[in-house]
This record gives sequence, C-alpha cells and structure tokens, in this order.
Amino acid sequence: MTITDFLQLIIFGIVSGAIFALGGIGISVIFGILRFAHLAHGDMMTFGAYLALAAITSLHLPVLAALPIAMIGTAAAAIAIDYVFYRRFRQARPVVLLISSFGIALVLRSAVQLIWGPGNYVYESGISIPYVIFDLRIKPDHLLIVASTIAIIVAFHLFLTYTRLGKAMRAMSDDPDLARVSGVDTERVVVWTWAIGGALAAAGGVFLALDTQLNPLLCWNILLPMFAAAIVGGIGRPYGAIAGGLLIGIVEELSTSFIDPAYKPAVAFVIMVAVLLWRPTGILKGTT
Amino acid sequence: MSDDLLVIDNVHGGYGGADILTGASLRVSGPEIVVIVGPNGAGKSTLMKSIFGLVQIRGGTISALGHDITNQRADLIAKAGLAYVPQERNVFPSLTVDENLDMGGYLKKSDAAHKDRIYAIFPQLANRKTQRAGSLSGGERQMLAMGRALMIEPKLLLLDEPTAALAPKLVDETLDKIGEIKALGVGVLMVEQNAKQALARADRGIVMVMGKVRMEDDAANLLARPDLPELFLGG
Ligand SMILES: Nc1ncnc2c1ncn2[C@@H]1O[C@H](COP(=O)(O)OP(=O)(O)OP(=O)(O)O)[C@@H](O)[C@H]1O
Ligand SMILES: [Mg+2]
Repeated sequence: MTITDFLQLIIFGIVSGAIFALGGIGISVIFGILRFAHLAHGDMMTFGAYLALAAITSLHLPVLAALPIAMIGTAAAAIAIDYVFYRRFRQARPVVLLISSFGIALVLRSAVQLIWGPGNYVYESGISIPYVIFDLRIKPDHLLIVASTIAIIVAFHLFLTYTRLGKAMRAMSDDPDLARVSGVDTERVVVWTWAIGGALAAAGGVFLALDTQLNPLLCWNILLPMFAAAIVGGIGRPYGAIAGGLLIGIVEELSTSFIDPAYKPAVAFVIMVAVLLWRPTGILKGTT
Repeated sequence: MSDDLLVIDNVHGGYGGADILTGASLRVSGPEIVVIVGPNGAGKSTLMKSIFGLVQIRGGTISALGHDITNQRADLIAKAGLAYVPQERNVFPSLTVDENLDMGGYLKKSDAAHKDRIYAIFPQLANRKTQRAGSLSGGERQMLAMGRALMIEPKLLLLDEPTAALAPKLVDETLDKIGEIKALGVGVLMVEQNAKQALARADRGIVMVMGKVRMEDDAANLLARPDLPELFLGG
C-alpha cells in the first residue's frame, strides 16, 4: 500500500466515521438519559434520509437545504414516537424498552417501504468530479459531509457546554434523581434529548444516502458500527461516540486493503472488543 | 395553612416491600436546626427521600410552606423552596464545580451574584471552579453538595449525614457552616451520626427508631440525658 492509498483510505474512513459519530452520539445520549439501547436509531436515520429525498424531489432543493428540513422533521418524529410509545415505559426495565425500540425500528422501516417502495434512489443523478490534491481524490460530497458534520458537532458541543438545558442534560445523565432534586423537569430534558438525537440521526442518514444510495435498509446496515462507536467511546458520553466513530470508520476502511470489505462489520466488532478489554468502560468512562 | 416549613404527619412508605416508615411525624417551624438521630436502618434517609417524592408514601401526608407535597415530583418540591443533599451521590461527578452550582441554580436561571455568595461561604470551592466534582475530596464534595442545594435559595434545607466519612477536624467545620446557613434564615432538617456535636448546635433533636419518631425534645435537653447513647443506638 502506497502512502497515497493509505491517505485515501483515511479520507474514506473519516467520512464513514463522521456518519457513525452522528448516529453514535444519539445512541449514547439516549442511553445516558433514558438508560436503554435504542435499536430503532438506524431506521430513524433512514427515515430522515427519505425526508430529505421528499424535500429534494418536491421542492427541488439542493441537499444542503433539504438537510435542516430532514433534521427538524426527524426530531419531531422522534419526539412523537417517544410521546406515544416509549413514554409509557419510563419505569419499565431496560429490556422492555430495548424490545419496544426494535418494534419501532420495524414500524419505521415499513413506513419507509410503504411510502417510497423498496427500490433504490439517489438525491442527485450524474457524476461529481473529485478534486485532486497531491494525487488524493476528494469528492465534493465528502467535503460537504465532513464540513457539515464538524459544524453540527461544534453546535452540539456549544449547546452541551454553555446552555442551561445542555448542562441539565449532562446532569441528568450523571444522576437523574439529583437532577430532579435540583429542580430539573426531566420530562422536558427527555423531549430535547429526542429532538437532538433525531436531528443528528437525520444528518447521519442524509450523509450516508449522499455517499451511497437510499434504500429501506440504508442505516440498519450500519447499526453495529454505530453501537460499537457509542460503546467504545463510553456509553452515555457523546464526545466518546465521536472518537469511537472516527476510530471505527478509519480502521474499517484501512482493513479493506487486507481483507474482504464484506467483513467490515466484523472489524467494528473486533475494535469494540479490543477497546473494552483495554478499558472496560470505554475511551471516556461510560455510564453504568 | 400554617407558618410551618415542614409538617410530616403519620407517614407510611418504603421501597416496594414492607413499609420502612411506619407512622413518622415531625415538624420544622421557621429557621431552626432540627437534628434527626437514630440507629442504622431506622429509616432516616428513607424519610428524607420521602419528603422529596423519591420514595412512595402509602399513608399520611407531608406539607411544606403551606403546600401539600405528598408524593409530589421532586422538581416541583424544589420549586416550592426545599433543597435536599442526599447521603450518597450528592454531586454531579462529570460536571465541574461551577456547573454543579449552576445546576443548583437551575430554577433561578442564572444569578451570578448568588453564586458568588456561595463561593464566599465555601472558599475552598472558589479555587476549584473548573475541576470536575468527581475528583474532589470527600470534604470538598460535601461543601459542593451543600452549595448546590443553597443555590436554590431554599426556605428549608434537608441534609442527610453531611459529616459522614469526614475527618474529625472537618466535622466541626461543616457543622459550623450549617450554623451559618441557619443565620441566613434557612431552616435545616438534618440526619447526623455525630449526635453530640450536631445536637450542640441544634435547636431541637429527634430520635428515630424503626420507621417512627421515638422521641422529640429541645436539643439541649436531649444532650443532657445520660441515656442518649442508648437512645441513639435504638435501645
Ligand atoms: N433503595 C432501597 N431499596 C430497598 N430497600 C432500601 C433502599 N434503601 C434503604 N433500604 C432499606 O430501608 C431501611 C432503612 O434504610 P435507611 O437508609 O432509611 O436507613 P438510615 O436510617 O438512613 O440508616 P443509615 O444510618 O445507615 O444511613 C433499611 O432496612 C434498608 O435496607
Ligand atoms: Mg441514611
């Protein structure tokens, strides 16, 4: 492998890492606040990707303009799903929520199939010409994905660090009872958790669709690396999910020069096991 | 409607199994320090949690500042003007010292002047504003927990064993702080194992045994009793 090949794979790895991070942050934050593994997260991302498709085809918008529409729509859908389904299980054991989130995953996937059918779509047909810098080919789409992800993550960071609600979210993730005792209306925090998880999920879904093609299983297929990213980073720690997503994205891409790309999910799994052996609670100490 | 800060009337409740509280009653009127003592497992912490709606009350009532708060949501109880420092897990470990105080002031939006007053009461914290609460020493953590609670500007402060696991020198220092807090016009209901030192600074004392209040008296009278150790041990 030449150094150019190596760097090229790193670029691809950063792109998929950004997508894993956007999904992984949501998985991690939802776990931190509600203490369950949200199995419908992949399908929520796919749903967001299709919402963007609807905006692009009906309003003739460019992808970047459809993105906020998809993010807001998916956030609203996530809040509604919580209100109708998950909210009933607040006091239930985590396994009950795990199973019900699997049910929601199937519901979302069926909704996508009913509305848009089982076929493949792309946002914009035609080929885009990559920029070439020092023999490295950089696709405009990849640039857009990485730049938008950085912007979204910076905004998320500022929200968590400086806003009253962001602090309340971190506090609740540390200790829900103490947050309540401090006067936090935890149900309000839950609503915002879904809003943020849903919006980031939509962004991840749109970016994966932009990089590949839309189909009803689009993000279900990357659920394993996204969970691995959240767990590797320390579950409940959104910054860990970013580190975990990049790590898994890059190692997965590099592995393709040694082994069949079909084994990518296995690579994510191996990284997860390796990191957990080294640090059982993840890169940042996760919630227990 | 009364001027009492807190009235607990014949409360029964617990954690799902048999009731831990079996008819507990007590009252805190005005800015006084009331100390609860009693053997391990008497239900002192459970009583504190039940005031804040964290334990199911199955009988009796609790009212505070003229509102019925029986089985109320904890955030609404905080809104009513009560603050609570639990025995364990009483700071947010991943938040900084400053952010912990911000969380205490959550209901007040942001009040920088009040935060400065808290730092003035607990000067050790002022040097550690950006340090994560999880990395503080036991004594500092206890100060932070009290500071966070005071950020609510409560009328009544509940403290569950504020001196547990502190070095002897810090026990006196912490109890003196509680005296300062009372001087701010705040009522204090606290559970304390260091019975003598706490009663020496308290207005009234309560002995709790097996989920009930066994005895209630002026702190000075309780302190003067030669059988205090037996009472305390639940004998
Ligand atoms: N979360 C819980 N779930 C079930 N039972 C509990 C729980 N916490 C306490 N108990 C039980 O309730 C009883 C009273 O406990 P509590 O913590 O109120 O006692 P305490 O008087 O505060 O004791 P200590 O002096 O040791 O703090 C004990 O028998 C204890 O085992
Ligand atoms: Mg206790």
